[in-house]
Amino acid sequence: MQPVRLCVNGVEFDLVVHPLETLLRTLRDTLGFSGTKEGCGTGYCGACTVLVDGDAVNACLFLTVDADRKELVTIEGLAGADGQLHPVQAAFVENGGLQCGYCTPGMILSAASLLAATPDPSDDAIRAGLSGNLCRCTGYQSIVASVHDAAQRLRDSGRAGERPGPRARIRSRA
Amino acid sequence: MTTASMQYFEPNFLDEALVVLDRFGPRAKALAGGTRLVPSLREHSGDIIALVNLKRIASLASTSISDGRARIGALVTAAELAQSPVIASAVPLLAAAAASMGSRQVRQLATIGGNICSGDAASDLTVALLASNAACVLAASGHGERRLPLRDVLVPGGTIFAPGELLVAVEVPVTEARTDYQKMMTRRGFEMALVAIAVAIDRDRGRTGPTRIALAGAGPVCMRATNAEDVASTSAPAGSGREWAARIGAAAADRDAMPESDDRASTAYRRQLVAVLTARALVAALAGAK
Repeated sequence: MQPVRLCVNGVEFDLVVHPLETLLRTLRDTLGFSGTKEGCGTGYCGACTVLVDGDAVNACLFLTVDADRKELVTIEGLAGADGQLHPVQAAFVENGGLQCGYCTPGMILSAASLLAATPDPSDDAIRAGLSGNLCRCTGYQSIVASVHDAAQRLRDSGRAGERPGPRARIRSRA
Repeated sequence: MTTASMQYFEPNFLDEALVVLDRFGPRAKALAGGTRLVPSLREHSGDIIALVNLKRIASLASTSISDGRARIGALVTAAELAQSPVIASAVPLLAAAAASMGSRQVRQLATIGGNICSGDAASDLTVALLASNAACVLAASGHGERRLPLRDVLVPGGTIFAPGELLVAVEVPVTEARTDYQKMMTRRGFEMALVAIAVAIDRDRGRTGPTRIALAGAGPVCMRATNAEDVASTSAPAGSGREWAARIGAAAADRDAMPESDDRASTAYRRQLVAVLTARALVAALAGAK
């Protein structure tokens, strides 16, 4: 067993985990961040996408030991401290960028990380950037529209290029 | 997915990793990006008794250029290859292949070393490295480093590396070659190549020199199309080079490719892709595309 210190959505957790435990398992089962979904479990569908030090990765392919001392953001960490939705979340809601919702946490985190790097992406850049997130409901048109709208909202609010997730860090123990 | 008997190692230095790999031999597994190993551990972790996580070894994650060669650490990720200005100028073929690979999430994790060691027949990075005359730098406990040409190490589903031996870096000659990468997928973005072609046309005092052609998805391993390369070296392109390129593409398809049918594409379709994409890549490379 290995000791790790994770910072999830600005809160630090000291845990002891099996070296083969995936970040997906730790987030969902140990820490209760069940917004991170398991789809295929093999890195194809993107439902388990989370941000590690700002980069989108598949939590099902990522061992928790490799997240030691890194900053993680899950869908639960995207909204502001006052509960106000992140501009990407608000854009998905208003543009109908979801139906059943299972792919949505991963889709939104991928979009947020894409927009942090590319504040004004083309249609092609959005489709390429989200190609690791599968949605079986929407047909993607409304998702692409949501991301365009999210980019506009981020630019309009002066948050273009901002790294998604909380700023402050809180000590805690699990 | 847990195995009580498995020992886990997280070495900070290469020598420590090599000692562990030497001690456990074929029953040790080295962990790099994890995009292949992590899902497979869940299903067949039984025969692995030691897992050696390489990610803390900083020397495996660096890239340097000296003496006309780029040395790329085994842990360098596809995302880093695709974004690195150094790679873009020194080995643009590799940058193009890396940018085309997988999804953003997978590129963030997948490593150049893992891509080679998985022995995948449709590996983007391996086929680009084959056309770049890359060499594998291997290390083993107490033996220092040795180098093997990449084209000599690939076998279906893996490599000929000895148990206890670790791929620590890939070395690529920096040349003025004109290169191009062509890839066919069932859909655009995030799909393994049905067939991918990497070509590099050397330039010698402004004239066309030796041509290297590598095929992915055209046989049990990524391979150099040596027969097609012979056709290229015994003839010269005229005009846009379309006829020259088509002859070479046909040679690659008829005399080099050994594609097999699977659930994604038939032998005949793959062979046709080899012909068309090889010709396309050669014309693009001649035109000066990177």
